[in-house]
Amino acid sequence: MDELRLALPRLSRAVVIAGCAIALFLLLPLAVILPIAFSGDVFLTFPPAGFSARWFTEVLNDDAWHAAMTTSLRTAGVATVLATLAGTAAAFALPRARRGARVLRTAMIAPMVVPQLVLALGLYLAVEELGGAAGLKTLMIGQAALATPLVYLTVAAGLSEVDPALARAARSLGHRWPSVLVRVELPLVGRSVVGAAVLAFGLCFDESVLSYYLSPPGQETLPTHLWQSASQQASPAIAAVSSLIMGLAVVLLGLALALGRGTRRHA
Amino acid sequence: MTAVATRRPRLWEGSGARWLFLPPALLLAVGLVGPLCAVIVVGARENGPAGMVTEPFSSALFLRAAWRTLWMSALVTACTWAAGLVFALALALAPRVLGRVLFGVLFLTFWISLLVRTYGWVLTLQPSGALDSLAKALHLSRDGLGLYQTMPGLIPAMVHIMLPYMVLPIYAGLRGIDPARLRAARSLGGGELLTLRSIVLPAVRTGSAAGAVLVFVMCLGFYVTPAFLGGPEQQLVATVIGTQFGRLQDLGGAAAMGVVLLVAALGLYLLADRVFGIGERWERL
Repeated sequence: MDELRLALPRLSRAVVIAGCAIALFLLLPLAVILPIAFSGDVFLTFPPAGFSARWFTEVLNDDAWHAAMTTSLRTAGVATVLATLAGTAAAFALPRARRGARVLRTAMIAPMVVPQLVLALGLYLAVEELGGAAGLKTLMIGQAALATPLVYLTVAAGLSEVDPALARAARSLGHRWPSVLVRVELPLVGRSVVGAAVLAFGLCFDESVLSYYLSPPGQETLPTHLWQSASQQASPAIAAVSSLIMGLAVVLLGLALALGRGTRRHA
Repeated sequence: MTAVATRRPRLWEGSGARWLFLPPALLLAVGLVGPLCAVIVVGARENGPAGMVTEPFSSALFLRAAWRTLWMSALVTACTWAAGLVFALALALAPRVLGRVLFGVLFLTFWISLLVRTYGWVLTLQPSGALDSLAKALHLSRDGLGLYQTMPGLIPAMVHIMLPYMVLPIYAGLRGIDPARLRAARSLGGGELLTLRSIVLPAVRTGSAAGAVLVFVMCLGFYVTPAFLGGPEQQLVATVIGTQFGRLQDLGGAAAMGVVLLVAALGLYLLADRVFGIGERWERL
Protein backbone atom coordinates (compact mmCIF):
# COMPACT_ATOMS: atom_id res chain seq x y z
CA MET A 1 0.00 0.00 0.00
CA ASP A 2 2.91 2.37 0.73
CA GLU A 3 4.38 1.58 -2.66
CA LEU A 4 1.04 2.42 -4.26
CA ARG A 5 1.08 5.79 -2.51
CA LEU A 6 4.61 6.49 -3.73
CA ALA A 7 3.74 5.47 -7.28
CA LEU A 8 0.68 7.72 -7.42
CA PRO A 9 1.65 10.83 -5.40
CA ARG A 10 -0.50 13.42 -7.15
CA LEU A 11 -3.50 11.18 -7.70
CA SER A 12 -3.36 10.18 -4.03
CA ARG A 13 -4.45 13.54 -2.73
CA ALA A 14 -7.39 13.91 -5.13
CA VAL A 15 -8.56 10.36 -4.45
CA VAL A 16 -8.31 10.71 -0.68
CA ILE A 17 -10.31 13.95 -0.75
CA ALA A 18 -12.96 12.25 -2.93
CA GLY A 19 -12.93 9.26 -0.55
CA CYS A 20 -13.61 11.55 2.41
CA ALA A 21 -16.50 13.11 0.49
CA ILE A 22 -17.92 9.62 -0.13
CA ALA A 23 -17.52 8.81 3.57
CA LEU A 24 -19.57 11.92 4.40
CA PHE A 25 -22.19 10.76 1.90
CA LEU A 26 -22.28 7.39 3.70
CA LEU A 27 -22.77 9.08 7.06
CA LEU A 28 -25.29 11.67 5.88
CA PRO A 29 -28.58 9.72 6.22
CA LEU A 30 -27.48 8.30 9.59
CA ALA A 31 -26.51 11.74 10.84
CA VAL A 32 -29.94 13.08 9.93
CA ILE A 33 -31.68 10.57 12.22
CA LEU A 34 -29.94 11.57 15.46
CA PRO A 35 -31.00 15.24 15.76
CA ILE A 36 -34.59 14.31 14.90
CA ALA A 37 -34.55 11.59 17.58
CA PHE A 38 -33.68 14.28 20.14
CA SER A 39 -36.32 16.66 18.80
CA GLY A 40 -38.60 18.49 21.19
CA ASP A 41 -41.17 18.84 18.43
CA VAL A 42 -44.00 16.48 17.51
CA PHE A 43 -43.26 16.68 13.78
CA LEU A 44 -40.37 15.53 11.64
CA THR A 45 -39.05 19.00 10.91
CA PHE A 46 -35.42 19.61 10.11
CA PRO A 47 -33.58 21.18 11.82
CA PRO A 48 -35.69 20.08 14.81
CA ALA A 49 -37.12 22.66 17.16
CA GLY A 50 -35.80 22.25 20.70
CA PHE A 51 -33.86 19.45 22.31
CA SER A 52 -35.34 16.74 24.51
CA ALA A 53 -35.09 13.05 25.24
CA ARG A 54 -38.89 12.75 25.47
CA TRP A 55 -39.12 10.45 22.43
CA PHE A 56 -36.65 8.01 23.95
CA THR A 57 -38.61 7.86 27.22
CA GLU A 58 -41.83 7.51 25.28
CA VAL A 59 -40.50 4.64 23.15
CA LEU A 60 -38.87 2.86 26.09
CA ASN A 61 -42.17 2.98 28.01
CA ASP A 62 -44.34 1.88 25.10
CA ASP A 63 -45.76 -1.65 25.32
CA ALA A 64 -45.96 -2.16 21.55
CA TRP A 65 -42.27 -1.36 21.04
CA HIS A 66 -41.42 -3.58 24.03
CA ALA A 67 -43.35 -6.52 22.61
CA ALA A 68 -41.75 -6.02 19.20
CA MET A 69 -38.30 -5.92 20.79
CA THR A 70 -38.93 -9.16 22.72
CA THR A 71 -40.27 -10.91 19.61
CA SER A 72 -37.21 -9.82 17.63
CA LEU A 73 -34.76 -10.96 20.30
CA ARG A 74 -36.43 -14.36 20.46
CA THR A 75 -36.72 -14.89 16.70
CA ALA A 76 -33.21 -13.68 15.98
CA GLY A 77 -31.86 -15.79 18.85
CA VAL A 78 -33.29 -19.05 17.50
CA ALA A 79 -32.31 -18.18 13.92
CA THR A 80 -28.77 -17.46 15.11
CA VAL A 81 -28.42 -20.85 16.78
CA LEU A 82 -29.60 -22.62 13.60
CA ALA A 83 -27.39 -20.51 11.31
CA THR A 84 -24.34 -20.95 13.54
CA LEU A 85 -24.72 -24.73 13.57
CA ALA A 86 -25.25 -24.96 9.81
CA GLY A 87 -22.62 -22.39 8.83
CA THR A 88 -19.95 -23.83 11.12
CA ALA A 89 -20.63 -27.35 9.88
CA ALA A 90 -20.33 -26.11 6.29
CA ALA A 91 -17.02 -24.38 7.05
CA PHE A 92 -15.65 -27.65 8.46
CA ALA A 93 -17.14 -29.78 5.69
CA LEU A 94 -15.83 -27.88 2.68
CA PRO A 95 -12.08 -28.35 3.11
CA ARG A 96 -12.69 -32.09 3.68
CA ALA A 97 -14.80 -32.62 0.62
CA ARG A 98 -13.20 -33.91 -2.54
CA ARG A 99 -16.23 -33.46 -4.75
CA GLY A 100 -19.17 -31.14 -4.43
CA ALA A 101 -17.15 -28.40 -2.75
CA ARG A 102 -17.78 -25.96 -5.56
CA VAL A 103 -21.50 -26.72 -5.62
CA LEU A 104 -21.86 -26.18 -1.89
CA ARG A 105 -19.71 -23.06 -2.03
CA THR A 106 -21.96 -21.58 -4.69
CA ALA A 107 -25.04 -22.67 -2.73
CA MET A 108 -23.66 -21.00 0.39
CA ILE A 109 -23.44 -17.65 -1.39
CA ALA A 110 -26.86 -18.02 -3.04
CA PRO A 111 -28.86 -16.62 -0.09
CA MET A 112 -27.07 -13.31 -0.69
CA VAL A 113 -28.40 -13.02 -4.24
CA VAL A 114 -31.86 -14.59 -3.93
CA PRO A 115 -34.35 -11.70 -3.86
CA GLN A 116 -35.56 -11.61 -0.27
CA LEU A 117 -39.09 -10.75 -1.30
CA VAL A 118 -39.28 -13.93 -3.43
CA LEU A 119 -37.92 -15.94 -0.50
CA ALA A 120 -40.57 -14.40 1.77
CA LEU A 121 -43.25 -15.30 -0.77
CA GLY A 122 -41.83 -18.82 -1.05
CA LEU A 123 -41.79 -19.41 2.70
CA TYR A 124 -45.36 -18.14 2.93
CA LEU A 125 -46.53 -20.36 0.05
CA ALA A 126 -44.58 -23.43 1.24
CA VAL A 127 -46.18 -23.33 4.68
CA GLU A 128 -49.58 -22.72 3.15
CA GLU A 129 -49.13 -25.68 0.76
CA LEU A 130 -48.35 -27.87 3.77
CA GLY A 131 -51.61 -26.75 5.34
CA GLY A 132 -50.24 -24.40 7.94
CA ALA A 133 -50.02 -20.66 8.40
CA ALA A 134 -46.77 -18.74 8.24
CA GLY A 135 -45.61 -17.50 11.58
CA LEU A 136 -42.57 -16.77 13.68
CA LYS A 137 -41.20 -20.31 13.22
CA THR A 138 -41.25 -19.85 9.44
CA LEU A 139 -39.51 -16.53 9.91
CA MET A 140 -36.80 -18.12 12.09
CA ILE A 141 -35.97 -20.74 9.46
CA GLY A 142 -35.89 -18.18 6.66
CA GLN A 143 -33.64 -15.83 8.61
CA ALA A 144 -31.37 -18.72 9.58
CA ALA A 145 -30.96 -19.63 5.90
CA LEU A 146 -30.11 -16.00 5.12
CA ALA A 147 -27.51 -15.78 7.90
CA THR A 148 -25.79 -19.12 7.21
CA PRO A 149 -23.41 -17.73 4.51
CA LEU A 150 -22.18 -15.04 6.89
CA VAL A 151 -21.38 -17.66 9.55
CA TYR A 152 -19.77 -19.90 6.94
CA LEU A 153 -17.55 -17.11 5.56
CA THR A 154 -16.46 -15.98 9.04
CA VAL A 155 -15.67 -19.46 10.37
CA ALA A 156 -13.98 -20.50 7.10
CA ALA A 157 -11.74 -17.41 7.39
CA GLY A 158 -10.83 -18.39 10.96
CA LEU A 159 -10.26 -22.00 9.94
CA SER A 160 -7.93 -21.00 7.10
CA GLU A 161 -5.52 -19.61 9.70
CA VAL A 162 -5.37 -22.90 11.60
CA ASP A 163 -2.54 -25.28 10.73
CA PRO A 164 -4.12 -28.35 9.08
CA ALA A 165 -1.24 -30.43 10.46
CA LEU A 166 -2.87 -30.22 13.90
CA ALA A 167 -5.94 -32.13 12.75
CA ARG A 168 -3.79 -34.61 10.82
CA ALA A 169 -1.65 -35.16 13.89
CA ALA A 170 -4.70 -35.82 16.03
CA ARG A 171 -6.01 -38.30 13.46
CA SER A 172 -2.70 -40.11 13.24
CA LEU A 173 -2.69 -40.37 17.04
CA GLY A 174 -5.86 -42.41 16.73
CA HIS A 175 -8.62 -39.84 17.23
CA ARG A 176 -11.71 -40.42 15.15
CA TRP A 177 -13.21 -37.48 13.26
CA PRO A 178 -15.84 -36.41 15.82
CA SER A 179 -13.20 -36.21 18.48
CA VAL A 180 -10.76 -34.34 16.20
CA LEU A 181 -13.54 -31.88 15.45
CA VAL A 182 -14.68 -31.28 19.01
CA ARG A 183 -11.35 -31.46 20.83
CA VAL A 184 -8.94 -29.96 18.30
CA GLU A 185 -10.51 -27.94 15.52
CA LEU A 186 -13.50 -26.36 17.26
CA PRO A 187 -11.50 -24.94 20.19
CA LEU A 188 -9.01 -23.44 17.71
CA VAL A 189 -11.71 -21.48 15.92
CA GLY A 190 -14.00 -21.01 18.92
CA ARG A 191 -13.67 -17.24 18.87
CA SER A 192 -14.48 -17.12 15.15
CA VAL A 193 -17.62 -19.16 15.79
CA VAL A 194 -18.75 -16.81 18.57
CA GLY A 195 -17.91 -13.78 16.41
CA ALA A 196 -19.87 -15.30 13.53
CA ALA A 197 -22.83 -15.89 15.84
CA VAL A 198 -22.77 -12.24 16.92
CA LEU A 199 -22.77 -11.13 13.26
CA ALA A 200 -25.57 -13.57 12.43
CA PHE A 201 -27.61 -12.25 15.34
CA GLY A 202 -27.20 -8.70 14.08
CA LEU A 203 -28.26 -9.75 10.59
CA CYS A 204 -31.37 -11.61 11.78
CA PHE A 205 -32.31 -8.90 14.27
CA ASP A 206 -32.23 -6.26 11.52
CA GLU A 207 -33.72 -8.37 8.71
CA SER A 208 -36.88 -6.64 7.53
CA VAL A 209 -38.36 -8.16 4.35
CA LEU A 210 -39.08 -11.67 5.64
CA SER A 211 -40.12 -10.08 8.93
CA TYR A 212 -42.58 -7.72 7.28
CA TYR A 213 -44.36 -10.46 5.34
CA LEU A 214 -44.12 -13.39 7.74
CA SER A 215 -44.60 -12.07 11.26
CA PRO A 216 -48.30 -12.51 12.04
CA PRO A 217 -50.44 -9.59 13.28
CA GLY A 218 -49.97 -9.09 16.98
CA GLN A 219 -46.52 -10.68 16.87
CA GLU A 220 -44.61 -8.04 14.94
CA THR A 221 -40.84 -8.01 15.11
CA LEU A 222 -39.01 -4.75 15.71
CA PRO A 223 -38.25 -4.11 11.99
CA THR A 224 -41.89 -4.89 11.10
CA HIS A 225 -43.20 -2.50 13.74
CA LEU A 226 -40.68 0.12 12.63
CA TRP A 227 -41.68 -0.35 8.98
CA GLN A 228 -45.40 -0.08 9.71
CA SER A 229 -44.93 2.95 11.94
CA ALA A 230 -42.67 4.67 9.42
CA SER A 231 -45.18 4.27 6.61
CA GLN A 232 -48.20 5.27 8.69
CA GLN A 233 -47.06 8.13 10.87
CA ALA A 234 -44.46 10.86 10.99
CA SER A 235 -43.26 10.97 14.57
CA PRO A 236 -39.75 11.53 15.97
CA ALA A 237 -40.39 8.36 18.02
CA ILE A 238 -39.41 6.34 14.93
CA ALA A 239 -36.14 8.25 14.70
CA ALA A 240 -35.56 7.48 18.40
CA VAL A 241 -36.07 3.73 17.79
CA SER A 242 -33.76 3.95 14.76
CA SER A 243 -31.08 5.56 16.93
CA LEU A 244 -31.43 2.79 19.51
CA ILE A 245 -31.07 0.15 16.75
CA MET A 246 -27.96 1.96 15.49
CA GLY A 247 -26.54 1.94 19.02
CA LEU A 248 -27.13 -1.80 19.33
CA ALA A 249 -25.47 -2.35 15.93
CA VAL A 250 -22.37 -0.45 17.06
CA VAL A 251 -22.17 -2.56 20.24
CA LEU A 252 -22.53 -5.84 18.29
CA LEU A 253 -19.94 -4.77 15.70
CA GLY A 254 -17.49 -3.83 18.45
CA LEU A 255 -18.04 -7.23 20.08
CA ALA A 256 -17.54 -9.11 16.80
CA LEU A 257 -14.37 -7.12 16.02
CA ALA A 258 -12.94 -7.77 19.49
CA LEU A 259 -13.58 -11.50 19.07
CA GLY A 260 -12.07 -11.48 15.57
CA ARG A 261 -8.90 -9.76 16.80
CA GLY A 262 -8.56 -12.40 19.52
CA THR A 263 -8.58 -15.20 16.95
CA ARG A 264 -5.76 -13.67 14.97
CA ARG A 265 -3.59 -13.23 18.05
CA HIS A 266 -4.09 -16.86 19.05
CA ALA A 267 -3.36 -18.31 15.66
CA MET B 1 -2.86 -45.31 -9.07
CA THR B 2 -3.99 -47.83 -6.52
CA ALA B 3 -2.67 -45.65 -3.73
CA VAL B 4 -4.82 -42.75 -4.89
CA ALA B 5 -7.83 -45.00 -5.35
CA THR B 6 -7.61 -46.35 -1.82
CA ARG B 7 -6.75 -43.02 -0.19
CA ARG B 8 -9.66 -40.99 -1.51
CA PRO B 9 -12.60 -42.78 0.08
CA ARG B 10 -10.72 -43.04 3.36
CA LEU B 11 -10.12 -39.30 3.51
CA TRP B 12 -13.78 -38.68 2.78
CA GLU B 13 -15.11 -41.16 5.31
CA GLY B 14 -12.57 -40.64 8.03
CA SER B 15 -13.00 -36.88 8.19
CA GLY B 16 -16.75 -36.90 8.70
CA ALA B 17 -17.42 -34.68 5.70
CA ARG B 18 -20.62 -36.56 4.93
CA TRP B 19 -22.14 -35.83 8.33
CA LEU B 20 -20.90 -32.26 8.40
CA PHE B 21 -22.66 -31.56 5.10
CA LEU B 22 -25.96 -32.57 6.67
CA PRO B 23 -26.88 -29.49 8.80
CA PRO B 24 -26.23 -26.83 6.13
CA ALA B 25 -27.86 -28.97 3.43
CA LEU B 26 -30.92 -29.50 5.62
CA LEU B 27 -31.27 -25.85 6.56
CA LEU B 28 -30.81 -24.63 3.00
CA ALA B 29 -33.29 -27.24 1.74
CA VAL B 30 -35.99 -26.21 4.22
CA GLY B 31 -35.26 -22.49 4.38
CA LEU B 32 -34.24 -21.72 0.82
CA VAL B 33 -34.62 -24.39 -1.87
CA GLY B 34 -38.01 -25.69 -0.70
CA PRO B 35 -39.64 -22.24 -0.51
CA LEU B 36 -38.25 -21.27 -3.92
CA CYS B 37 -39.68 -24.49 -5.37
CA ALA B 38 -43.01 -23.61 -3.74
CA VAL B 39 -43.01 -20.30 -5.66
CA ILE B 40 -42.49 -22.21 -8.92
CA VAL B 41 -45.11 -24.87 -8.08
CA VAL B 42 -47.77 -22.34 -7.11
CA GLY B 43 -46.90 -20.11 -10.06
CA ALA B 44 -47.29 -23.04 -12.45
CA ARG B 45 -50.52 -24.30 -10.87
CA GLU B 46 -52.27 -20.93 -10.77
CA ASN B 47 -51.27 -19.80 -14.25
CA GLY B 48 -50.52 -23.09 -16.06
CA PRO B 49 -46.90 -23.99 -16.83
CA ALA B 50 -46.86 -21.88 -20.01
CA GLY B 51 -48.99 -19.15 -18.49
CA MET B 52 -46.46 -18.76 -15.69
CA VAL B 53 -43.98 -17.46 -18.23
CA THR B 54 -46.36 -15.54 -20.50
CA GLU B 55 -48.68 -14.09 -17.84
CA PRO B 56 -46.26 -11.51 -16.33
CA PHE B 57 -45.08 -10.39 -19.78
CA SER B 58 -48.64 -9.76 -20.93
CA SER B 59 -49.12 -7.20 -18.17
CA ALA B 60 -48.20 -3.67 -19.23
CA LEU B 61 -47.58 -2.73 -15.59
CA PHE B 62 -45.06 -5.55 -15.20
CA LEU B 63 -43.32 -4.78 -18.49
CA ARG B 64 -42.90 -1.13 -17.57
CA ALA B 65 -41.66 -2.10 -14.12
CA ALA B 66 -39.23 -4.66 -15.60
CA TRP B 67 -37.79 -2.12 -18.02
CA ARG B 68 -37.47 0.47 -15.23
CA THR B 69 -35.83 -2.12 -12.96
CA LEU B 70 -33.27 -3.02 -15.61
CA TRP B 71 -32.10 0.50 -16.34
CA MET B 72 -32.26 1.54 -12.67
CA SER B 73 -30.07 -1.48 -11.78
CA ALA B 74 -27.63 -0.69 -14.59
CA LEU B 75 -27.39 2.96 -13.58
CA VAL B 76 -26.94 2.12 -9.89
CA THR B 77 -24.27 -0.45 -10.80
CA ALA B 78 -22.38 2.09 -12.92
CA CYS B 79 -22.54 4.80 -10.24
CA THR B 80 -21.59 2.31 -7.53
CA TRP B 81 -18.63 1.12 -9.57
CA ALA B 82 -17.31 4.66 -10.07
CA ALA B 83 -17.77 5.60 -6.41
CA GLY B 84 -16.53 2.20 -5.25
CA LEU B 85 -13.31 2.42 -7.29
CA VAL B 86 -12.57 5.89 -5.91
CA PHE B 87 -13.35 4.80 -2.36
CA ALA B 88 -11.26 1.62 -2.62
CA LEU B 89 -8.34 3.67 -3.98
CA ALA B 90 -8.81 6.15 -1.13
CA LEU B 91 -8.69 3.27 1.37
CA ALA B 92 -5.41 2.12 -0.17
CA LEU B 93 -3.85 5.56 -0.62
CA ALA B 94 -4.95 7.41 2.53
CA PRO B 95 -2.49 7.86 5.41
CA ARG B 96 -2.81 5.03 7.91
CA VAL B 97 -5.12 6.65 10.48
CA LEU B 98 -7.40 8.23 7.89
CA GLY B 99 -7.55 4.90 6.06
CA ARG B 100 -8.75 3.21 9.23
CA VAL B 101 -11.40 5.90 9.72
CA LEU B 102 -12.65 5.45 6.15
CA PHE B 103 -12.77 1.69 6.64
CA GLY B 104 -14.66 2.20 9.89
CA VAL B 105 -17.24 4.42 8.18
CA LEU B 106 -17.74 1.85 5.41
CA PHE B 107 -18.19 -1.03 7.84
CA LEU B 108 -20.45 0.91 10.15
CA THR B 109 -22.84 1.86 7.36
CA PHE B 110 -22.69 -1.68 5.96
CA TRP B 111 -23.61 -3.06 9.34
CA ILE B 112 -26.42 -0.74 10.37
CA SER B 113 -29.93 -1.99 9.67
CA LEU B 114 -31.00 -1.53 6.06
CA LEU B 115 -34.41 -0.33 7.22
CA VAL B 116 -32.83 2.31 9.46
CA ARG B 117 -30.55 3.52 6.65
CA THR B 118 -33.54 3.72 4.33
CA TYR B 119 -35.48 5.64 6.97
CA GLY B 120 -32.53 8.03 7.20
CA TRP B 121 -32.92 8.65 3.47
CA VAL B 122 -36.66 9.21 3.96
CA LEU B 123 -35.89 11.88 6.56
CA THR B 124 -33.25 13.36 4.25
CA LEU B 125 -35.32 13.50 1.07
CA GLN B 126 -38.90 14.01 2.21
CA PRO B 127 -40.60 17.37 1.63
CA SER B 128 -39.17 19.91 4.09
CA GLY B 129 -36.70 17.21 5.18
CA ALA B 130 -33.00 17.70 5.79
CA LEU B 131 -31.98 18.26 2.17
CA ASP B 132 -34.82 20.70 1.48
CA SER B 133 -33.95 22.67 4.62
CA LEU B 134 -30.32 22.79 3.51
CA ALA B 135 -31.31 23.97 0.04
CA LYS B 136 -33.52 26.65 1.57
CA ALA B 137 -30.79 27.80 3.95
CA LEU B 138 -28.38 28.11 1.01
CA HIS B 139 -31.06 29.92 -1.05
CA LEU B 140 -30.86 27.21 -3.73
CA SER B 141 -34.60 26.62 -3.86
CA ARG B 142 -37.64 27.94 -2.10
CA ASP B 143 -40.18 25.16 -2.61
CA GLY B 144 -37.91 22.21 -1.92
CA LEU B 145 -36.09 19.93 -4.33
CA GLY B 146 -38.94 17.44 -4.76
CA LEU B 147 -36.63 14.42 -4.72
CA TYR B 148 -38.77 12.26 -2.41
CA GLN B 149 -40.19 9.21 -4.21
CA THR B 150 -38.50 10.01 -7.52
CA MET B 151 -35.76 8.20 -9.45
CA PRO B 152 -33.15 10.94 -8.83
CA GLY B 153 -33.83 10.50 -5.12
CA LEU B 154 -33.86 6.70 -5.16
CA ILE B 155 -30.57 6.23 -7.02
CA PRO B 156 -28.21 7.87 -4.49
CA ALA B 157 -29.90 5.89 -1.73
CA MET B 158 -29.40 2.64 -3.66
CA VAL B 159 -25.73 3.50 -4.31
CA HIS B 160 -25.36 4.21 -0.59
CA ILE B 161 -26.61 0.72 0.26
CA MET B 162 -24.70 -1.13 -2.49
CA LEU B 163 -21.32 0.60 -2.08
CA PRO B 164 -19.70 -1.89 0.38
CA TYR B 165 -20.42 -4.83 -1.96
CA MET B 166 -18.37 -3.04 -4.63
CA VAL B 167 -15.59 -1.60 -2.47
CA LEU B 168 -14.56 -4.84 -0.78
CA PRO B 169 -13.72 -6.92 -3.90
CA ILE B 170 -12.02 -3.94 -5.60
CA TYR B 171 -9.96 -3.26 -2.49
CA ALA B 172 -8.94 -6.93 -2.38
CA GLY B 173 -7.65 -6.51 -5.96
CA LEU B 174 -5.64 -3.42 -4.98
CA ARG B 175 -4.06 -5.26 -2.06
CA GLY B 176 -2.96 -8.00 -4.42
CA ILE B 177 -0.73 -5.67 -6.47
CA ASP B 178 2.91 -6.77 -6.28
CA PRO B 179 4.87 -3.85 -4.69
CA ALA B 180 7.87 -4.78 -6.86
CA ARG B 181 5.93 -3.88 -9.99
CA LEU B 182 5.07 -0.47 -8.56
CA ARG B 183 8.70 0.08 -7.56
CA ALA B 184 9.79 -0.92 -11.06
CA ALA B 185 7.25 1.45 -12.62
CA ARG B 186 8.51 4.28 -10.46
CA SER B 187 12.22 3.66 -11.01
CA LEU B 188 11.68 3.39 -14.76
CA GLY B 189 10.00 6.78 -14.71
CA GLY B 190 6.45 5.63 -15.46
CA GLY B 191 4.02 8.50 -15.03
CA GLU B 192 1.02 8.27 -12.73
CA LEU B 193 -1.44 7.80 -15.55
CA LEU B 194 0.64 5.03 -17.09
CA THR B 195 0.96 3.28 -13.71
CA LEU B 196 -2.77 3.62 -13.16
CA ARG B 197 -3.59 2.26 -16.60
CA SER B 198 -1.08 -0.56 -16.81
CA ILE B 199 -0.90 -1.78 -13.18
CA VAL B 200 -3.78 -0.52 -11.05
CA LEU B 201 -6.74 -0.89 -13.40
CA PRO B 202 -5.85 -4.45 -14.55
CA ALA B 203 -5.46 -5.43 -10.89
CA VAL B 204 -9.00 -4.36 -10.03
CA ARG B 205 -10.65 -5.78 -13.15
CA THR B 206 -11.86 -9.08 -11.68
CA GLY B 207 -12.84 -7.42 -8.40
CA SER B 208 -14.85 -4.85 -10.33
CA ALA B 209 -16.61 -7.58 -12.29
CA ALA B 210 -17.43 -9.53 -9.12
CA GLY B 211 -18.74 -6.40 -7.40
CA ALA B 212 -20.70 -5.24 -10.43
CA VAL B 213 -22.45 -8.60 -10.90
CA LEU B 214 -23.38 -8.79 -7.22
CA VAL B 215 -24.66 -5.20 -7.12
CA PHE B 216 -26.66 -5.60 -10.35
CA VAL B 217 -28.25 -8.86 -9.19
CA MET B 218 -29.08 -7.43 -5.76
CA CYS B 219 -30.58 -4.31 -7.37
CA LEU B 220 -32.90 -6.44 -9.54
CA GLY B 221 -34.74 -7.86 -6.53
CA PHE B 222 -34.24 -5.04 -4.04
CA TYR B 223 -37.35 -4.23 -2.08
CA VAL B 224 -37.00 -2.14 1.08
CA THR B 225 -35.44 1.03 -0.30
CA PRO B 226 -37.62 1.21 -3.46
CA ALA B 227 -40.71 0.53 -1.33
CA PHE B 228 -40.00 3.67 0.71
CA LEU B 229 -38.34 5.92 -1.84
CA GLY B 230 -39.71 4.64 -5.17
CA GLY B 231 -43.20 6.05 -5.00
CA PRO B 232 -46.35 4.84 -6.78
CA GLU B 233 -45.27 6.24 -10.14
CA GLN B 234 -41.89 4.52 -10.01
CA GLN B 235 -42.87 0.87 -9.51
CA LEU B 236 -40.08 -1.67 -9.82
CA VAL B 237 -40.50 -5.44 -10.27
CA ALA B 238 -40.02 -6.06 -6.55
CA THR B 239 -42.51 -3.39 -5.52
CA VAL B 240 -45.10 -4.74 -7.99
CA ILE B 241 -44.65 -8.24 -6.51
CA GLY B 242 -44.83 -6.78 -3.01
CA THR B 243 -48.18 -5.14 -3.77
CA GLN B 244 -49.59 -8.34 -5.34
CA PHE B 245 -48.38 -10.39 -2.37
CA GLY B 246 -49.24 -8.04 0.49
CA ARG B 247 -52.07 -5.74 -0.40
CA LEU B 248 -53.89 -7.56 -3.21
CA GLN B 249 -53.28 -11.15 -2.00
CA ASP B 250 -52.94 -12.25 -5.63
CA LEU B 251 -50.53 -15.04 -4.76
CA GLY B 252 -50.64 -16.72 -8.19
CA GLY B 253 -49.69 -13.49 -9.95
CA ALA B 254 -47.04 -12.71 -7.35
CA ALA B 255 -45.59 -16.21 -7.75
CA ALA B 256 -45.39 -15.96 -11.56
CA MET B 257 -43.59 -12.61 -11.36
CA GLY B 258 -41.44 -13.96 -8.54
CA VAL B 259 -40.29 -16.82 -10.78
CA VAL B 260 -39.23 -14.38 -13.49
CA LEU B 261 -37.28 -12.30 -10.96
CA LEU B 262 -35.73 -15.40 -9.39
CA VAL B 263 -34.63 -16.85 -12.73
CA ALA B 264 -33.14 -13.52 -13.79
CA ALA B 265 -31.25 -12.99 -10.53
CA LEU B 266 -30.06 -16.57 -9.95
CA GLY B 267 -29.32 -17.20 -13.63
CA LEU B 268 -27.15 -14.11 -13.88
CA TYR B 269 -25.37 -14.95 -10.65
CA LEU B 270 -24.66 -18.58 -11.60
CA LEU B 271 -23.43 -17.50 -15.03
CA ALA B 272 -21.13 -14.91 -13.50
CA ASP B 273 -19.93 -17.39 -10.89
CA ARG B 274 -18.91 -19.78 -13.69
CA VAL B 275 -17.04 -17.01 -15.48
CA PHE B 276 -15.47 -15.06 -12.60
CA GLY B 277 -15.62 -17.50 -9.66
CA ILE B 278 -17.42 -15.01 -7.43
CA GLY B 279 -18.07 -17.48 -4.64
CA GLU B 280 -14.37 -18.14 -4.17
CA ARG B 281 -13.61 -14.44 -4.44
CA TRP B 282 -15.93 -13.57 -1.59
CA GLU B 283 -14.42 -16.30 0.50
CA ARG B 284 -10.99 -14.70 0.20
CA LEU B 285 -12.08 -11.31 1.55
